[in-house]
Amino acid sequence: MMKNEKGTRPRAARRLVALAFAFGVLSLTGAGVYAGLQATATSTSAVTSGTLLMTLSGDGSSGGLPETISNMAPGDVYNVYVNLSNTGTLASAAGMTLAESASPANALTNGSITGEGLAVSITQCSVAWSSAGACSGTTTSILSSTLLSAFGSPQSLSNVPSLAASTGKLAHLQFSLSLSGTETSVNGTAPSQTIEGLSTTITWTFSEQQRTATTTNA
Amino acid sequence: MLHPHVSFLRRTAVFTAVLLSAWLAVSPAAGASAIAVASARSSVASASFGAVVTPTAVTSVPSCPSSQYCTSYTFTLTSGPGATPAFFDVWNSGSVRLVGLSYRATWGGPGGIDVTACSVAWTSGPGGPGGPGPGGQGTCSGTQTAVMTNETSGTYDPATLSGTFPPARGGEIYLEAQAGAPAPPPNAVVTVSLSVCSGGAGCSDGTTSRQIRAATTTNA
Repeated sequence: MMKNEKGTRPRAARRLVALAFAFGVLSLTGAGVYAGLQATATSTSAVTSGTLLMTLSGDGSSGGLPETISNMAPGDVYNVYVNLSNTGTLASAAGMTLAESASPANALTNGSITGEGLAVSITQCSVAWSSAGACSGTTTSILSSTLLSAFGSPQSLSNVPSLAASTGKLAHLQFSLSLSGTETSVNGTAPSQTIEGLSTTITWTFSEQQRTATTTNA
Repeated sequence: MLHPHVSFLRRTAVFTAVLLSAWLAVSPAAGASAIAVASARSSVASASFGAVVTPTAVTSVPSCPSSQYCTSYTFTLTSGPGATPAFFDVWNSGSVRLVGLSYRATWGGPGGIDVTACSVAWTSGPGGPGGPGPGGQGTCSGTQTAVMTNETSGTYDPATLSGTFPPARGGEIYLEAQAGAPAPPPNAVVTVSLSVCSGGAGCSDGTTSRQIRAATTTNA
């Protein structure tokens, strides 16, 4: 028994040492091969990405947006004048959209009374609008009068040529909000469904997309 | 049956694969183009409009003895010798100016009534409440305007003459109602109601006239 135990231990130790030696040799040999075959060639590519930025500001003497309208009666129209500016370094694509969300949503915005509520229209002037709302240049319809209840999805804005053309351009827009409705109040009481005496805050979001991506072979 | 650790590892692997697939599917579209947005807000409050009947200082108003105003005014109209008029006020309870008002008086039976507006409160005339004389008509020391003349029961009478409606927000005019000729049946119970329409085909008073201030265009 004692003889067998003594005979097994040295054999196992010898195997372990042999294995370690083999790994050591292989590692040294492999490193030598890699070091011997490595070659490099370097150069640089300088890349700057473009920016696609858009801002809203008042046009001329107008306060622009945001706006606060109080005591609006059916038929009233409230115009503000804004500059929609492409301030980035990338041109925009021709398509542009306007989205809205109202809080709270009520008869002014959600179409619960057919044909009644707030409507928005946008007209572009080729030059800045006057304070009296006159355009001495050429006017172009960007969005015809559209009830907010029709904004199930963002509305496409048409004819925004100056923004789509190139960077640094701006569009002079008349942003017009009107209230439609025919209602009769009887004995001081509004109809059960009414656009009277309501308040809401509408968030408008203009969106533009970058110009078509390009492939350059230089 | 799988070992719990194996099952957990398998579920984790499947979940990771699903997430990776979704990211791979979405990322090319998101990275393909840029979108710029500019947003702003509009805060809008709409007006209310209407007119209500209010108690008058000249006589008590049975249908609304304690409230600030009545949604309509109901009174018993006496006729014949010793008849006394009914007095009531109309108040612009809305938030916009009025340019017109529609009245409707209803009672059972034939006859007509007269309603007269005064720009100031009626005072008791001879024979009026506490007065000595017959007739009981009130006295108007301001401008007097006819609102209804022998008005038939149940018809609307769009009143657009100055003085027949309170134009200003919170404004008030003072009315006197009495039997016309021919008079309604004795002790007819008369209800006077009012309506204000924003104009258009939906006006329920049978008119299409706009009875609130003209629409405005604001350039701000």
